Amino acid sequence: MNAGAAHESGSASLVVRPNRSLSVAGMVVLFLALSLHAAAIGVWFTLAGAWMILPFTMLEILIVGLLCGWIYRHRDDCELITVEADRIHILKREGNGASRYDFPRYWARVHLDRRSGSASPTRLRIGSHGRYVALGEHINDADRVLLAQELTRLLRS
Amino acid sequence: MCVVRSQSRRGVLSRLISGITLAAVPVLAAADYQLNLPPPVSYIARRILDLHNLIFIICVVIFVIVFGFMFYAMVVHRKSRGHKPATFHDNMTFEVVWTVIPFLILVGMAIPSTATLIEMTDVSKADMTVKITGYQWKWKYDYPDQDLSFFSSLSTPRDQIEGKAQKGEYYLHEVDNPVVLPVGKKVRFLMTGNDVIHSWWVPQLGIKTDAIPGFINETWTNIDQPGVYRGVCAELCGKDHGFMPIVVNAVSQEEFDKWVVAQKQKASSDAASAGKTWTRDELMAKGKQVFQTCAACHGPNGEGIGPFPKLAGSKIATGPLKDHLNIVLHGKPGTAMQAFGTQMNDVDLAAVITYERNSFGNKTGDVVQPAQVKAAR
Amino acid sequence: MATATAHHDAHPTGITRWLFTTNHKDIGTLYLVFSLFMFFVGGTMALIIRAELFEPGLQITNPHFYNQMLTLHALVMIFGVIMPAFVGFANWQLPMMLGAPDMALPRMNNWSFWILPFAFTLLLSTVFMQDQGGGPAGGWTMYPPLAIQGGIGTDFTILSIHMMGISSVLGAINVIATILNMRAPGMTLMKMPLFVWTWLITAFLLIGAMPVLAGAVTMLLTDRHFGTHFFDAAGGGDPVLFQHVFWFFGHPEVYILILPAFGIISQVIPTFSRKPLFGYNSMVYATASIAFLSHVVWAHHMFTVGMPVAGELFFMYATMLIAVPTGVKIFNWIATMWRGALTFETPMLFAIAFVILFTIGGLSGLMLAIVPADFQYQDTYFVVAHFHYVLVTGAIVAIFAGAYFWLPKWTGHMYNERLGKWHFWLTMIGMNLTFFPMHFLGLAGMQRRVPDYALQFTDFNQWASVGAFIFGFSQLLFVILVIQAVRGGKRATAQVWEGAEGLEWTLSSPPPYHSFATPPVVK
Repeated sequence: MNAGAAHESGSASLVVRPNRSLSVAGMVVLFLALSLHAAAIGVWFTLAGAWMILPFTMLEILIVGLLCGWIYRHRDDCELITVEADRIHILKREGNGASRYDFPRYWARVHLDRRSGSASPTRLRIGSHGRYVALGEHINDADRVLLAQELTRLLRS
Repeated sequence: MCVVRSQSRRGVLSRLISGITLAAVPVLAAADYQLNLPPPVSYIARRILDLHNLIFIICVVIFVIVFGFMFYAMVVHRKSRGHKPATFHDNMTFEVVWTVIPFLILVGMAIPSTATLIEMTDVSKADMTVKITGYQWKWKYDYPDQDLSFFSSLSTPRDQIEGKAQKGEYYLHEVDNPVVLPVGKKVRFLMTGNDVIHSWWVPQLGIKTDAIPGFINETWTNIDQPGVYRGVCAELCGKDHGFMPIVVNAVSQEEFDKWVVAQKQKASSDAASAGKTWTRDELMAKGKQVFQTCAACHGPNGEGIGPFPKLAGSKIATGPLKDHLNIVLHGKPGTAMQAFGTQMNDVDLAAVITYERNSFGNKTGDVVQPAQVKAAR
Repeated sequence: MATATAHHDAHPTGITRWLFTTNHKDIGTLYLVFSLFMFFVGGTMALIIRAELFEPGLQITNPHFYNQMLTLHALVMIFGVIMPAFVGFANWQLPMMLGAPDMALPRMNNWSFWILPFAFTLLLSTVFMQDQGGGPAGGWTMYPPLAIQGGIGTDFTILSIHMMGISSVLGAINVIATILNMRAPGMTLMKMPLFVWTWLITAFLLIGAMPVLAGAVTMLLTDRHFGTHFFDAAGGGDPVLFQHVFWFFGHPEVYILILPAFGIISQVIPTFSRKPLFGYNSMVYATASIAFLSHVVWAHHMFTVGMPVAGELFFMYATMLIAVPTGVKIFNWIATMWRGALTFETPMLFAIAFVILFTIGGLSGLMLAIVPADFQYQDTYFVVAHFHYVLVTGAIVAIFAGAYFWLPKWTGHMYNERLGKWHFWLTMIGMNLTFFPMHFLGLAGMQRRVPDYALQFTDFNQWASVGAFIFGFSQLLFVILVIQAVRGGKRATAQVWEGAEGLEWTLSSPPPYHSFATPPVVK
């Protein structure tokens, strides 16, 4: 992890983006596999006279479909942090929406909250004047700590 | 097996503690533990026992060989003995071998199993038929060829179950009317259920078949030797599932014929007694006996048990006689209250209804005659 | 470190932390604590059963209450103990093993846990409604027409099963999404730890099976109250249809309860053998083929209902076939131990016990598959012994193996090894004393689900009852041990165990990969 190249011009940027190992095609295959398996069972029982299983199968396929859709919409979720000479811009992309935050660089503070206990997660926030925005909520704990260090370094440089 | 246990009045905890000490002391010598299926008395039961022993031995041999390797590794390949770990993690030959060999063993087991199963299901060429119907919680036996029909229910007194009397040798394995079968004859059984699913199981005959309402299952036996063979209901059928045993009395053909004649005489004398007018005392005495059946749910003093309603002071038992007759004769659908009209004769019904209407503080003063029951049917 | 650390309004604490948490570790802990609590609830019911069966006659329960106890004991242990425990393990371990930051659907993860306490409150409240008929008393299999007779407890049970079903389906989707979508770069499917594989397959089974259960209990409900006749022969229905439907759910369910256990054991044995798992690929294929076969063996639970011979033969052969992949697993575990450098810490002891005792359950399962012999075993204590060997000395023992194995990772402290060994040996003595004599009881003719029995069964029943109390009370040691480990003790290293391998053991530092990067300058 190195932001050196960008640093020379006085501005640097970081992309925080969790890994997504399932391709869109893979998701379609998964959805078809799950729903065809469930549907086959439901239809088979309907033919045997126990038709009340089918509605539950349909409900389940609906839930699987909705959740696949949710995952699909969030496949490109990321946070773009741009540190400029006097401003910090944060672009959070979540699902179909995006939100932007903007802080004066010299007032901005990075907070890494820890909870006691070795297995507890950390929380990373950046902001100023009592307005904070959480960062790196979708990455590993260890990465979040590194991100906090990197951001702190960038802010000070 | 003839151990009769004296009832102690100690608490459960102290009994458990004494049980712990009991288990610590070797008790193996004291009792004769039955470890395997009971001695078979029919061809099928014998085939099943042979099959069971065969599979069991195969399983034991496999177990010993497989875990022999494991125990060897546990003893020899220990880190504490300075054993250095090998690094292999694959071996195609071994993996194929231990897929194929178990498969072949399974094929070897499947062949005799299939043969036995096909014999078990061959109900053709039967010498006689017995229809068995499961009721909550008793069995009904119909002999269509002999034109006989009777109920068979637990005869162990409630006092023994509740620990107020010493338990007899055949505790919970005894009935009032055993089913009598001739030896050396192929008997076909037709099984069905009246209310819920039951399962008619006599281990020594090698028969277990579900008695399902609305369905008729077939099975058969051919008993080799005379004797008394005991069994139970094997499918959970409600509260008294554990209290509906089966007793099969296997006798010679002559004895069987005599028994049939005796049963028919008894049936006709019962019919005669239904015609006469009974006194209140006679009805109350008989009713108290018959009420044993009802007490299973409604409590020995009509106090009710859990979801089963009490009779003491109830609307039915103190209200109009018509309603009382109706519910006893026709039951209450969707509950365990059955249509006793199909299960008891007029005398028993008249007696028990009289008893219910004049006991547990119920004072209707009604005396119900068998003729009234007959009219209400 | 130059980072400022703030504690005010940082993380929610107290009850809100647990109510609203979306963190996989917190939710994993909730599942595990819930499971441990329910283990004691279900265990208490088991001890009531065993106390009643200590001697012939009715001493402490009446038959109706006894039937409620045996029904609730099964429902609690299956849906309230084993399944939540495995979901708890999945929550803790899957993200760590895959190098993922969390589960794929964190908010839903929270819901699927919090449904459970409500479902079980509903289920267990029926015990306090004895005047309205009490709890469900028709066995956890809920066969009609008996289940139709039940009181309001049956309706509560149906509702609560619906809730558990929703919880399981949501959990299963989450597991699948996590495994397929959240793997770290380089973590290909055939590199995933076996625990991950077994859970992936389990989740597929859950998604197939749960609508079937939901439909089955709904049909019971409409038969009870809304005039349908699915299972009522008098109305043209078929009581046996319910059994087909139920066991079509029920048999995959059996594998849902054991596949994650296979996964746990496949993690533990290589660690303490200091040798890689033997035959990783064949383990994966064996798991998948067990899952496949589990769809075509359901009727072996109902050989005595009077199926056509062809049907009985088909289900017998299919059931026997399951012994092949299961055998492969056992052989692979032993081959993993072979020529390793074995040590016997508590997790390994439980794992070895699992392999031996589960095999006993597996072999008695093979005996039960033989239809003619099954006619003698069906619905007897032989079956009770079989499925307790599979589920208690199988699934529960594997859960203990996993709990001891990962406890240092979760709490950061080593547990008390001496106490762990005591717990292991008392548990072994107790459970074998409880369940082994049941084989003999069944063969000798004792049917299952009865509160009272004939005199010749007394001795073995007393053994079993004594064993059950030893088994039950020794579990308190485990509670003490867990509390100790949570509160303090020797610090655990990141690797914890000498032979441990995999992402979860290296996670603290350095992290396996970076999920953020510096892109080219935007302007």
